[in-house]
Amino acid sequence: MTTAESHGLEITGLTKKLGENTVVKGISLSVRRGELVCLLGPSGCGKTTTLRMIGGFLQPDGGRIAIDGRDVTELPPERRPTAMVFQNYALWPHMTVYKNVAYGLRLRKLAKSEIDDRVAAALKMVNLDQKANRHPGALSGGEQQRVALARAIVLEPALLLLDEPLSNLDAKLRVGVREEIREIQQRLSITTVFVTHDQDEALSVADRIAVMSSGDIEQYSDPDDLYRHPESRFVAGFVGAMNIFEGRVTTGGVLVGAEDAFLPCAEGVLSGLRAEAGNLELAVRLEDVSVAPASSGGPSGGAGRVVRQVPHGHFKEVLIELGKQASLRAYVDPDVDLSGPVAVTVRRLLAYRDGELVYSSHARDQAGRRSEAAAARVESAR
Amino acid sequence: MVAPPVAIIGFFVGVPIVISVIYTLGHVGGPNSAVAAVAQHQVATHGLLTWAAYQQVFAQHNFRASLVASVWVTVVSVVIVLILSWAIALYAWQTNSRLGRALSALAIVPMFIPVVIASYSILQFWSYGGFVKTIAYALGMPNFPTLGFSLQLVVLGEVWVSVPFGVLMIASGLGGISPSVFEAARDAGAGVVRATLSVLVPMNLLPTVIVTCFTGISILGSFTVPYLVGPTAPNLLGPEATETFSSFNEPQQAEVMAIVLFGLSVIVAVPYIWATYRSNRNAGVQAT
Ligand SMILES: Nc1ncnc2c1ncn2[C@@H]1O[C@H](COP(=O)(O)OP(=O)(O)OP(=O)(O)O)[C@@H](O)[C@H]1O
Ligand SMILES: [Mg+2]
Repeated sequence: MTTAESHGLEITGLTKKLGENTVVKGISLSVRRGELVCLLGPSGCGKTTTLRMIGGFLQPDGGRIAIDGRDVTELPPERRPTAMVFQNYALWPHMTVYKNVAYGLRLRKLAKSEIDDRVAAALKMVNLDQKANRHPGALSGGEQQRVALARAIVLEPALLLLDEPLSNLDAKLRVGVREEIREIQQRLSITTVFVTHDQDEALSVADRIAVMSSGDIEQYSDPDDLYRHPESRFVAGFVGAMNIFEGRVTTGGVLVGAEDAFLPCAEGVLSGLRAEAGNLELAVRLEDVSVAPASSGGPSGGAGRVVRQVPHGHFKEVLIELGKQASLRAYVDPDVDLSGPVAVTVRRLLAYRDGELVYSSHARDQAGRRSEAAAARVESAR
Repeated sequence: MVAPPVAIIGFFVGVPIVISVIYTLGHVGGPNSAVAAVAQHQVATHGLLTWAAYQQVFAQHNFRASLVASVWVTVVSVVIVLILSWAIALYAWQTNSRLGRALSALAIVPMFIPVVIASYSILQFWSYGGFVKTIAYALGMPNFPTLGFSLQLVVLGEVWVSVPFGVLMIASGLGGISPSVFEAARDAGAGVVRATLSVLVPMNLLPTVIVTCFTGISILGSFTVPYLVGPTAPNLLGPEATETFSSFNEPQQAEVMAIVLFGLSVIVAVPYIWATYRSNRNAGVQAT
């Protein structure tokens, strides 16, 4: 059954009802062999439920799951070629680190010498070969996390499942360990599904990201595309920092806020949008706003005042008030003096109507960048 | 600060124990002279202490049979209690269903029923002319066996009395274990039985040992259930010692039996001490 073209993981129409509400609403997702895909979404959107169905801990109400081209929907967890790293690690406290990692190999009745070799290699990979005889209770959180990872990869699973594996670690460790996970995943080229609610984490480790919202996949794209072309208002607000306004298009710019504050746009930014387009939700990335000290006698539009500055080292985040009812955030050069009135210009802009992307000032660079979800939507619209 | 309570306990518990022990070893004078004055078949020594009373008791066929019966009833009852408690607690933990919760709530009920009343009910239910026999008779089985006044019925009664504690302990122990450790074992390739034996049982070892030791000790020394539903002889050592004391008026022999029971209980307590030591050693291990 396993062919070269078959996907590492193929989910079709997966549905799950828990209690009264449908927690996963018929999602479909293909993950290529060796690819790392993040399931990203806010708390309670059904990420864990989806992952548990893939691992076999929950029986779906509808839909199929295939791993390496083989349908595993009906199989119990012990017969699936998956290995899961649980959010709380779920190490067995009565076993040493060595025994935790060796457990699955022992069940497979391997020779003692082979078990020893593979456990040693797995522990070396996560830098824990010195602590093989400790009990999990005598390890730090980060070390426990790495034992859980070693326990999963030692089985050489076809599919690695990670449920918020870093959420119990402090911010600094989180960055280090996620790099390690990515590096090991690349080295072994294991197909991986990584659940997280942290968009930074997803953007930095994933080959592709599936953004989930209340049981549905909103967008499935690579990180760059997701960041530059969020296809829904939800994704625009969820991934990366974004200014979002209610507004109307007018000549040379947009009118935002209750008092119709004028926000000028750079040449060509609005070229595809007609002025009578009505009320839209407009989204502008913080780095797509130019801020400069207002030259006296310059155009009055786009004039504002910087009311807050947050230094970030080589750049600075500023909050600018445009009149009483509208404000926007921007990243600026920390050396520029912005104490007086400032003029702002928008260099890139996305527009949404009814939550769907209707306009982007910058076309996608390559066809290959287009997400599958977008392509599907375009096709169905024809 | 602790000295006064220790002194009080030492005086009210320790002194009587010492007096009893030396009485069983043939010291009939001093504080033992009152009881010794009316006791039958008593062994007395005027020199050093003597084992003669123990030899006498162990020479009795009746006593040896009761000793064996006590151990047999205890072992069988504890095994049944463990199996039942684990089964009920596991079912409730695994399914988290209404039936599971109802079952574990039901298992606690015997705790609220006085042992005397429960014992009589059990007897009425199983004895000759009892509920089971009557039903069997009506169904055309006149030779259906009855359990009245048998060691089997003692086992049944002891299980009834001990199951609530067993379920409470095992279930609360399981309650502290995150389902994900069990799922992790399944994930690694273990079936349900294997995952239960290799993960849940060891992780819930201390409550299991507590149930084993404490129900073991309480059954060994139990009185009400065997006295009311058990046979005349051989029966458990509790009723046996009582009878020796009050019916035969042999306090020295009764005290010898009590000390033998104490010795057995100490042996039963050893695993508890070992498990507590072990779990203290592993302290700091997160139970999740
Ligand atoms: N047993 C249950 N019965 C009813 N609803 C449930 C049950 N378990 C989970 N849910 C609901 O299902 C939804 C999805 O849960 P899930 O655990 O998949 O969320 P999640 O995306 O993993 O969230 P988080 O980031 O907080 O872990 C939640 O709204 C939750 O309230
Ligand atoms: Mg979750």
